[in-house]
Amino acid sequence: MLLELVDVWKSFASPSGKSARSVEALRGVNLNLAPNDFVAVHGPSGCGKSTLLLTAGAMLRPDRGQVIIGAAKPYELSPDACATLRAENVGFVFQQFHLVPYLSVLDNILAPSLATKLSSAHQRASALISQFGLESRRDHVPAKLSSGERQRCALARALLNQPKLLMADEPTGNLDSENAQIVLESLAQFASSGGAVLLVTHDERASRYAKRNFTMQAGELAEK
Amino acid sequence: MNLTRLIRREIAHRKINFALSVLSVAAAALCLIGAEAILRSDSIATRKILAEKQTQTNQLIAQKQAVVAKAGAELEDATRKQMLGLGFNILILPQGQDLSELHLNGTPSATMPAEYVDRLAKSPIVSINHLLPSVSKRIQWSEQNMEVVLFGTRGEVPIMHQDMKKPLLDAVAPGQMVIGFTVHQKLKLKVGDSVKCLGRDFKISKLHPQRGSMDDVTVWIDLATAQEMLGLQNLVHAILALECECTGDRITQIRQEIAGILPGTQVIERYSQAVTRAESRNHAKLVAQQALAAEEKVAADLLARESASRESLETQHATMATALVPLSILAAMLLVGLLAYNNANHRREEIGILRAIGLRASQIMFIFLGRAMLSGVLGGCVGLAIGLVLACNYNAGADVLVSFNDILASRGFVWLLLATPLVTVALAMIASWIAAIFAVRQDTAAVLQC
Repeated sequence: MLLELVDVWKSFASPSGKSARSVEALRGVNLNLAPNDFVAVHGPSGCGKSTLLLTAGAMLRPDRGQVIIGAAKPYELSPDACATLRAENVGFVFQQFHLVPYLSVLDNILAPSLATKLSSAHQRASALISQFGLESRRDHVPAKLSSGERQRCALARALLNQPKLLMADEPTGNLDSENAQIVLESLAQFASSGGAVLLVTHDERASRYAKRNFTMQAGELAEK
Repeated sequence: MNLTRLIRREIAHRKINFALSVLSVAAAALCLIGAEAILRSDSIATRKILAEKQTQTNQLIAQKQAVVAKAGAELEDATRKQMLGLGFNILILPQGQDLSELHLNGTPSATMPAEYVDRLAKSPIVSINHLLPSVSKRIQWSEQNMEVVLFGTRGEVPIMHQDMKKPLLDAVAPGQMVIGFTVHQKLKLKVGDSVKCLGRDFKISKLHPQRGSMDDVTVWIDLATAQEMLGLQNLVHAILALECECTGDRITQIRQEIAGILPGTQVIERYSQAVTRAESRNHAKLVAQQALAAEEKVAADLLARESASRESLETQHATMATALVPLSILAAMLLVGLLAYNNANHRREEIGILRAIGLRASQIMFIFLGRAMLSGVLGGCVGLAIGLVLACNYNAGADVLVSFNDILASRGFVWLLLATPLVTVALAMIASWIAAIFAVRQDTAAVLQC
């Protein structure tokens, strides 16, 4: 397995801070992702989709349960080892793109190489730029890009270190249908090439590309 | 792609924030260098001013010493000559001379060998300065029908073991005559007149002013002529010893010394003014010394006042620097810290994604502290440059005392210049430390969920 979530629980304090009740974002979630898996998780806003993604991506420690990436348990590692595990195994794509505003497209795509010292980073970045049709935007900063271009740039960045897992949080949320299709096809292509994709989305079009579809309701995950 | 490139790109993106950090650091460096340059300049200027004043004072004192010495010499000479008119100090007479006769008639009658003078001159006696052998007799100047005292004298006999002294009395040359006041008044004589005395011809060379003593009825001629005229060849009536150092009981010692050299003589202190004369001479010397001491004191006071004034200025500047430099450094650190915090706060999303793609905490720290280090280096260099320009121009003006090279050559200043960028780097990094910690510790998940 590339990713295993075993009885994962995660709760947050009430946003107002006045209520003693906490909000349970994940309630005993179990999920496995094998190579070539493309899992789409659907659900309304606030149901815990992003929490699931961040917990699975070794960025948000669960209250209970196990998260296993490959053979490693990231939350039992030191912060630096956890960061290295993430850099080498997981790619992230977000709805808000989260590009570094002062870096060019090329530099944004190269940013993950800061963590891994990938020797062929530059060649691979160039290949990804070509793959995502960003040649003419290579030296542009994110502010000069369209939403679709930004998301393609973010996708290329996520793929630079050749991760085994790709985690996408509403990657089509800010895109037109043409760019949404490009992104979803790219995710599917990544899955078919041996990786695994965990996608959380509102976009029903994603169902067509995912091999498995889940719904999330009040922190509980159920396969469709 | 590396972290340095990322830092450079970020600085280019947020120029104002970085420029303000650089300026804050530069201000602190400027205060440090400027204050140090001013303090060193003060110190060098003080040394130069005081050295210059000291030189001027030394020159002034040397001039005053010369003036005082000259004035003292003139005063002493004048005093000596004025006192000369009052009489001689020591009169050496033959043992057989009746002093009653001397005092009643004004002239002695007993004689002693003229070679006594040479014997005394060759002796090691130290208490007598001038020797004047003489013969004198009250005569009837038949050619002028007037009674006068004929006084034969010669130039002073030098005392062999002493340095040559300026003679108190000019010798009367052979064939010449010096006339006392009453005589030349009564006979209506003037310098250059030719007169005959006891059958010999003389030309008048000098007329004395009134002295109110026996001198007014005296005529002076040279000793040898007088001895011939009076039939006293190789004999003298008296030896006049001038300027004897005969204050207090020294007269007793002089008598003993002379008795050992010239047996059969007696010594009398001719006039009490001798003591007065010695005292006057000493007084003249004392007055000169006091005048010089007063000048030296005035000069020393001036130097002390200048020194105190400079010290006060230096203290003021040092006090100001002591307060200003730490304050400026603290203010700069605070501002750099706030700017760094503001920077970190604006970069929360960026830091979140960098953590998400696997950058370690140490790399995030490096991004922030590397930026701070650059602002420290640049700020230090800018502050240093401005500080040096100001230091160069601090003393600019017509009366330049301290050049920049003087300051540069002062001990340790070059090291301070070299150390300043290091200090400012440390300052900027320490000030940015909290912001860097804030950046590292922020919740990545929370940032990315927003």
